[in-house]
This record gives sequence, structure tokens and C-alpha cells, in this order.
Amino acid sequence: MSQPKILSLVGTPNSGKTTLYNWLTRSRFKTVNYPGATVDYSIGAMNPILADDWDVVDTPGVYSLHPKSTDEEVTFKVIQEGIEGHVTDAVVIVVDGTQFSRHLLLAAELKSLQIPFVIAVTMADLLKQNHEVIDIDKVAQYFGAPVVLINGLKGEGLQELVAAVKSLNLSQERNKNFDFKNEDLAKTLAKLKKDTATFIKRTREAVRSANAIDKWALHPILGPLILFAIMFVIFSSVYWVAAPFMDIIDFSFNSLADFVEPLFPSVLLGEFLARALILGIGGVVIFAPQIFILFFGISILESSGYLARAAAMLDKPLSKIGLSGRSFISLLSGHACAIPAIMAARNLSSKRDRMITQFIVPLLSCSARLPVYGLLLTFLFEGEAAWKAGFMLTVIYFVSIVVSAIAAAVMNKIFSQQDASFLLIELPVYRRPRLWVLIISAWDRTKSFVKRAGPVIFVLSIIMWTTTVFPNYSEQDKNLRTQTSYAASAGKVLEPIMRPMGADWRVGYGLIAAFAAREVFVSALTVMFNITADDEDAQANSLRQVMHEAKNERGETIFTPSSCVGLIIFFMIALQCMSTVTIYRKESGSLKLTIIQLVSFNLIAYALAVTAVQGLRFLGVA
Amino acid sequence: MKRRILNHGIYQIESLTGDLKTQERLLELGFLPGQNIEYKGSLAFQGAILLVLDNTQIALREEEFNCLNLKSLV
Repeated sequence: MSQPKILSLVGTPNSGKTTLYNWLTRSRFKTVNYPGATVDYSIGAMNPILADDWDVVDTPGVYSLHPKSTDEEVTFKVIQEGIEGHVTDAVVIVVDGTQFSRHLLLAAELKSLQIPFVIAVTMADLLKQNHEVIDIDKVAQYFGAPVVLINGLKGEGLQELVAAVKSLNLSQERNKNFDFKNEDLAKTLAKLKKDTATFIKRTREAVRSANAIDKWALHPILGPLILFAIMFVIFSSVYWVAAPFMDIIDFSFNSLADFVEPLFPSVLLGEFLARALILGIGGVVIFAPQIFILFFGISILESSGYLARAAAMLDKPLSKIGLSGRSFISLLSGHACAIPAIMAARNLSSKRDRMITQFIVPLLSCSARLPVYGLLLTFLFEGEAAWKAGFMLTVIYFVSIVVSAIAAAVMNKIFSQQDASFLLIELPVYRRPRLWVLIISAWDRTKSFVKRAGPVIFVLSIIMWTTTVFPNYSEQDKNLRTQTSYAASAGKVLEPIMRPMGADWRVGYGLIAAFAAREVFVSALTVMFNITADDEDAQANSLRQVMHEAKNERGETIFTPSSCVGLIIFFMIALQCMSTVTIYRKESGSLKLTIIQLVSFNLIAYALAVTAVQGLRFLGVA
Repeated sequence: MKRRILNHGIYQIESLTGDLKTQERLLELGFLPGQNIEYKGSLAFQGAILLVLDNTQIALREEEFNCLNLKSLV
């Protein structure tokens, strides 16, 4: 079979490019990194009903072929040099019909390059609704290229688009000498504006309706309050809507593990299949509901046109730490889970914004830290008014935001040479999101997470299981077996390092176990302190009781106010979650940055924890 | 940098000035000399400035806005 031809979709941000791409490929595509750049583009085979010999490429949004960021360079290279050794055979320029007259520069530039192209005018439904008419014959004649109207909501115009692509002369000689650097952009644009002035007749209706909503949505005081309310709903959903699904997944995998474990004559084999393999897979899948819901919410904001407004509103405060308004979704998501937050940063068009945001996200207090804070704060404020622990939790969240802001400011100095970001953002007209587009977008991100992080988390969970079972695997008492395991031995090796933090080897083991997932710290302590209560509440009560009495080998109390504060500080900053490390490695595309992040966060966490413990003790706090 | 405060209203772009990359991006978005724009003020936190260009709302930073030399038409 011959090599499929390459059709690249090129257009401005928010032009409807990705919706068209989903229609053309039936959303069956892979997302790949452009070689030499940490920028994603998507490639997928065209729906065979439309054509069976084309692959379609969705490129990062651009305004012209004068690249100003790494993303824009990728689009430029896809057009000029092709991908994976294959030249781009044809281009579809996706133009938002409601912004028609200002988005024709790309068409003029592609005409200069003599690359065969079709102009796809999206938002045809809005044009109709607003009684706007584009004279497509005039446009086609001017650019010497077919023009097709697309209704992204219903997928209308796809057959016509593919027929137009097939009608192109793909073997036409291309102009490889055209140098955009010598182009007088102002002159080109002025001529284009003059020549195309009569191509569209438009009314002001669409803008008026956007203005009416924006009177409230962009109000200097009400605007941020509305934004806060919207984000509150989305993030509550990440917690509350995801919770029952996570419980179902947790219950299903635990039930399956309980069912499978006794089926095998070899106890060890049964335990391996149940506890390492099945629960290992469960440990990956359990994040899926949170990721799906978060990206579903983000897609609503994106498709409705609100995301651009939120980014514009928050640009000023975030610019104080070297970020742009577009980073806020990631930063807010980081309070639920760092994994989808790092993935959400993919949408940032500036490489610098993306690098800084992804780097600092793990410093925000994610939900996995809550059980640890809960245990330590309840222990510290036992018998005291509940508001005290609540207040301290608020302080912890606040400090984590301050720490991330400091980290962002430092990273901003380091990455200052990377492409600086623009705000310059068009606020699209408001649109009603299409349910299937939202589902596809959220599902794609969820699949991407499972594929990217799954294998590593799975292998790590097997390693964790193996090191907590061996060498004393035949021991019937599981707590005793764990206490004599390799992992416990590693905890003992770490004891000299733990001592300045006021902790002993059992806490050290808990910190090692927390690398699988932070919340595991609590259950690891339960095992290490030999708590045998059945339900979680009884375990927590017993654990707190044991923590009061726990002493190290020198007879000193382990869990004191100072050591608990030290542990809280350690958990606030340390990068323990291996899933986060794995996703960061994949998304940043840099092993060096991943190692720097892992080592620096953990060293700083340790140094600050030791300083806090020793400082408090110096001041007379136990 | 001193904040440029304008009254809400219609302005004409006389010329573009400042950083070349920003000028280029402004041109790509349609901020051409001779073009009329509507100035709608600042968004929350005295941050981004909201303009209307060819019936489309565009938000831009102060330093980006300062690249536009404007003449009041009202």
C-alpha cells in the first residue's frame, strides 16, 4: 500500500481547527512530539468514508508564518519541511468565519509559497445566525484556492472539503526561496485588508451578545468573583463527582484482588497477582475519573470562549511571578492533583510559561497530601478546638502557594531567554459547547495519562510490593514480614538521615513508601507501628495513640510538635509522587529537568524540615 | 513604566512603536496604522487592557498596548 499523503491543518488559535480535525479523523489519532521540540502535534488517518489515502496533522495555532514561539516554529516546519521525512502534500487553512477579514494572512503567505491549499471557513452556523455572508467565489478567485464553509457543530461541509483537497494540483512547483523575513508585513496586511474588504457583509449582532455577557464576566470586580465561582464548581467536581467513581474503581480492583489471591496454590504467586499486578493497575486507573472530570471542565471553558477571558483577567497577578494568565488552569488544577495539572500546561503556547508552570505545579498542595496533613494536624491539635487544625491547614495551603510563587520567580530568571509570552488574546464570541466534543477531548487526555504514566507506575508498584515482601516472604504475620523487609531495611539505612528531622527508621520507611503515593505514608506508619485495627477510623485512632507513645532506640519520643512540623514541611515541598515524576518527564521532554526537580525539591524539603525541627528545639519547643 | 490612562472611546492607530516582535504580532492581529479601535479600559487587577478591533474584543498587556500610538477620534 502506498504511503498516505499528508494534509496539515493550519490556523489561528481558537479557529475551530481541532474540531475540524476531530471530524476528519473520527478522533482516532496519536499525539506526538515534534523532533527537537517539546511541542505536541496530532496525526491521524482520515476517516476512510471521506478518503482512505490521507493522514491529517493538527498543528499548533499561528497567526502568520513569522514564527515567534517554539510552537509556531513547529507549524512552520510542518508546512515547509513536512513530518517524519514526509513532505506536507496539502494544507487546509482554517479561518474563523466570524474573524474572517483579519485571518487571511496565512492564506496570502501560503499563496506566496505556492503550497496547494484549501481555505476552510469555520463557524458557518454563527455566520448564518448573524446574517453574515462571505462571498466564497470572490475569496477563491483572489487566493486561487478552493473555499469551503464548515459547520463544526454538525460536521457539515466535510465531503466538500475533502473533494476540494483532492482537486488540488499536488505536484505544482513550490517556491522555496520566499523569505518572510524580507516581507513588509504592514504593507502586505494593508493590501490584503483593502483587497478583501468587500468579501464579507457582517452585522454587529454576535459581538453585541458577547458584550452583554462580558459586561458581567469581565467586570473589574464581579469578573474575578464569577471566575472564582466557576472554578470552585469545576474543582469541587474534581473532588466530589470523581469520588464515587474512584471508590467504585478502588472497590472493584480490591474485590478482584481478594477474589484472585486465594485461587492459586502458591500463596506468594496469588499475592503477587493480586497485590502487585491487579492493585498496580488499579493504582493507575484510579486517577482516571479526576483527570476526565478536570479536562471535561476545562473543555467547557475552552469551547464556550470563557477560557480566553479568564486568562486575560488573571494575566496581571500571574505576570508578577513571570507567568501569563494562561497558566492559571494548571496552577489551580495542581491543588487537586499534579498529574492532570502538568498535562493541562500543554495548552500554553509559550515554552517558558509551560516550563515554569510544569516545574512548580508539584509544590502546590495536592489532595494526596491531605491524609498526611490530616493525621499530623489532628495529632498536634488533639483535644483542642477544631478551628485550630483548620486554620493550620489554611496556612499550609497559603505557604505552598507562596513557595510555588518563589520557585516560579527563580525559574523565571533561569528561563528568561526562552520565548517570552504575549498576552494579545482575541476574546472569541460565546458558544454553546458540543457534548461529544467535550467527551472526546476529556477522554483523549485520560487515555493519554493512562498510556504515559501507566507502565511506569505499574512497574514501580511491583517494585514496592517486592521490597515490602522479600526476603522474609514465608512469614505468616504480614506486619512482621513488612517490618523485616528490604524496604524496612532501607528505612533503617536512612535512620541517620531521618534523625535530624526528629524521625526514626519507621518514619523513614513511611517516607520511602510515600514515593508510590503520598497518602501511603499513613498506611505505611500503620504497618510499621503494628496497628491491627480493621476499619480506617479505628486505625487512625490507634495510630495517633501509638504515635504519642512511640520512642526511638535512645528512648526519645518520636512524634513531638517539632518533628510533626518538620514532617509537614517535608511533605509540602518534597517531590515524592512517582506518577508526577513520570508525567513530568514525559511532558517536559527533559530528563535533566526531571532530575533537577526531583533532587532539588527533596533536598530543599529535607533542609527546611531539619532547620524547622532544630530551630524549634533550640527555642525550647519539644 | 507609567500607565497610559485613556478615556473610553474610539481611537485611530497612528503608528506602531517599540519591540519588533510585539509590533509584528499586533500587525498580524489587525492593528494596522490608520485602523480605528475602541478603548474599553482595564480588566480586573488593573491588568489587561480591552480593545475592540473590527468588532472583535482583544485583551493585551500594558506593554503591548504601549506599542500603539493612538489619536483620539471622539
